[in-house]
Amino acid sequence: MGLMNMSNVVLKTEGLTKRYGDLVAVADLTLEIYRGEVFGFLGPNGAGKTTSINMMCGLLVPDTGTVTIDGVPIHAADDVLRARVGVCPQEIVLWERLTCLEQLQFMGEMYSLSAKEAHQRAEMLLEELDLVEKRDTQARKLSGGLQRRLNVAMALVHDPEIVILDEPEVGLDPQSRVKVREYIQSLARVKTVILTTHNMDEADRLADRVAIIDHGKLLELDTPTVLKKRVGEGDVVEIELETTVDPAIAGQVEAAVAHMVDQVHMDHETSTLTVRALNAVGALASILDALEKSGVQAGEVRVRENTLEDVFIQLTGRRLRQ
Amino acid sequence: MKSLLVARKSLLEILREPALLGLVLLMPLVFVGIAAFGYSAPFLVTHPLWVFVQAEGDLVLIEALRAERYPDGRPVFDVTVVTDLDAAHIALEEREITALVEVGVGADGRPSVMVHGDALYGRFYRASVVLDQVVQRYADRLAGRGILVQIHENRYAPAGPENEFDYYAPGMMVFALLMIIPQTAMLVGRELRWGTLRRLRLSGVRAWELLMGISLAQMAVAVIQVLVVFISALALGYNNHGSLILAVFVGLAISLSAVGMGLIVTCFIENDSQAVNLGSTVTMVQVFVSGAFFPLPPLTVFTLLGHPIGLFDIFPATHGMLALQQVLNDGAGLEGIGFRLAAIVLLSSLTFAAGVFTFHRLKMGRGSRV
Repeated sequence: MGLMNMSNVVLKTEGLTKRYGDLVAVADLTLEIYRGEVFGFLGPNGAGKTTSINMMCGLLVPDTGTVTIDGVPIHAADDVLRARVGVCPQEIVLWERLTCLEQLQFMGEMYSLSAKEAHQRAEMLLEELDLVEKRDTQARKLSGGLQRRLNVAMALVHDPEIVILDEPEVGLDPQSRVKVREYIQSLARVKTVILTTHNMDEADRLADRVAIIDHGKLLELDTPTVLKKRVGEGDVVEIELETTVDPAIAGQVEAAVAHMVDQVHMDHETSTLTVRALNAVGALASILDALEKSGVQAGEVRVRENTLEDVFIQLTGRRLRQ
Repeated sequence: MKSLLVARKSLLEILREPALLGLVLLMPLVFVGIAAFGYSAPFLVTHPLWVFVQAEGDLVLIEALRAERYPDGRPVFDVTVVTDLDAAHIALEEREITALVEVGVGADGRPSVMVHGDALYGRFYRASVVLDQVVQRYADRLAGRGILVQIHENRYAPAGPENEFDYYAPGMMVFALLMIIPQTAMLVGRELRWGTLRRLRLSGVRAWELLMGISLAQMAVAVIQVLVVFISALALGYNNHGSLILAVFVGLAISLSAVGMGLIVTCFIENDSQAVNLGSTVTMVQVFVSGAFFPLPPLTVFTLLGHPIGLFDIFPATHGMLALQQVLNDGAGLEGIGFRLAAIVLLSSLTFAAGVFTFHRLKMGRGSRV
C-alpha cells in the first residue's frame, strides 16, 4: 500500500461519461489507479464496468471526460503506450482454428515483439497457466476452463504493465478458478491489475482497493477492509426463521433485538433476521430468547464476517445479483 | 509487417476450415466437373449421316459427302448407305444420326436430293451448312455449269475454344474467384462476432493494416483457386492456349474486387449462414452477368477506345471473364488484354475502396463497440 501515492498514479480517469441513446452507461467516472495495485471494479451486471474498462484501454471513445496513462491521454497514445495495457475481455476471444501457441505468438508479434520474443513469452505463459499440454491444440478443442485460461494469457503475452481483467472468473471450473486466482495474485505488485467482477469474494480476496459501481456511477472507492468497516464493525449473524413472520411481530422482534446489537434487519422475503454486532456470537443466546418470547421459531443460524455484498446492499438496497 | 501477420493468420484459418475451403475450392471444382462432363464434345464433330438411295439414284453425291473434310483432315460426315427409310427416320428422331439424305429421281426424271433433319437439333444446323454446300456443288455439276457458290472456311484466330468446355473453363475461374465474397464475409464477420477484431485493434493495428492483411490472404487464395481450377480443367480435357501466369494476374485483380464486396456484405450479416446466403447471391448475380456460365447477348451502351462497353461491364468480373477467355482460349498476351486488364484493375480498386470505406465507417469507426 505504500506504493499508493499521487506520484504513483498510472491510470487516471476524469469525468468519464458514455451514453447509448437514453441509457447512461457510465456517468462522470473519476478515479486514480496506482502503480502495482490490484484495483477492483465491483458491481452487478450492467453496472457499467465493462464500458468503463473499454474506455480505459482506448477501445471506446467516451462522450466526455479523459483517460490518461502516466499523464498521456489514451487516445493520443502511440503503439508503445497502448502496448503497456493488456486486456482480458469477459467473453472468450480466441481464433477457433489456431492452436494455443499460435494465438499467443500471433498476438505477441502483433504487439511488435520479435518472433523469438513472442515465442518465448507464449511458451512461458503456457507453462504458468498449465496449458503446456495443449500448446498445439486448436482453441475450439479446449474445454471452457482452458479457453478462459488462454484468454487470460492472451492479455499478458506482450508483458503489459497494466492488466485489465474483465470478470476473469466467470464460467471457470473450480480447478481453473484456483489457477487463475493464484495467477492474478502472482501478478500483484509486479503489474497494475484492474479487475472487474460482480463476485464480492473475488474482489475481497484479490483487490487492494475496490470501486463499487452501479448504474454507471461510482458509489464508493476504498480498500475492502475500510469499506466493510463502514457497514459496521464485528460479525454478522443470520438467523433463518422457520415460518413467515407477521410484519407486526417482525417489528416487535426487531425492537427487542435492537438494543442488544449494532444493527438489525428482517428480510421478509427470505424470512431471515440479520444482526450485526461487535460480539454478535455472545449476544446470540439473548437474541434466540427474544425470538422465542415473540413466538418465532428460529431455524438455521449462520455466523460470518461482513462482506462487500453487505456494503453493496447498504449502498443500493439491492443484492449484487438482483 | 502487421499486415503479413494478419494474412498468415487468416490463411491458416481458411486452410483449416472445411466450410471456407468448400466455398472457394470444392464448389468451383464441382462446376468444372459438370461443365467437362456436359460440354466437352468438340465443335467440329464427324456427323453420322445416313443416305437412302432409291433404285435409280446417283451414287456420285455419296462419294462427294464422304470426301468432305475439315481443315485438319477429319471427315465431316460418317456416311452410311441404308435401305430402310423408316428405320432411318426413327434414327433421326432419336438423334442417333445428324441428318438423313434421300437421293432419288423426281417425277420429271431428273435427280432429286432431299435432306432431312431435326429443326431443334443444334448439330443438324452445323452439318446442314456443309451439306448444303456439297449438294449445291452436286447440282451445279448435274446442270453442267461451273460452281457458283463456294464457301471457304478458315481459322482466323491462332487458337480458340475447341469445344464448349473450353469456352466455359475460364468462367469457372471467375466463379471460383467470386466465391471469395461469401468467404470474406464469413471470415471478417467471425472476427467481429468473436471479438477478435477488437483484440487486434487493442494491439494498435491500423485499420488499413488489418484490411490489407485480410486482402493478402484472399489474394493468396485466389492464386490457389486459379491454379486448382486450371489444373483440374486441364485434367478434364481443357485445351489451353495461353499464359497461366497472366491468368493468375487477372485472377488477382478480380479477387481484389471480391474482397471489397465481401467487406460490404460483412456489414449486413449477423452469422455464417447469412454470410453464405447474401455473399453467394452477390456472387451468382455477377457470375451470370459476366457470362461465366453462359454467353449473354451484347448489350452495348457505348464504345470506348474501340471496345464495345456493355451494360454489365460495370462489374470487374465481366472484364475478368473476357480477359481470361482471351488469355487462355485465344492465347492473348498482356497487350491483347491491356484494355480489359486496365478496366479490371480500375473497377476492382474502386470496389475495394468502397468496401474498405463502408466497413471502416460501419464497423471500425470511432465510438463503435467493436
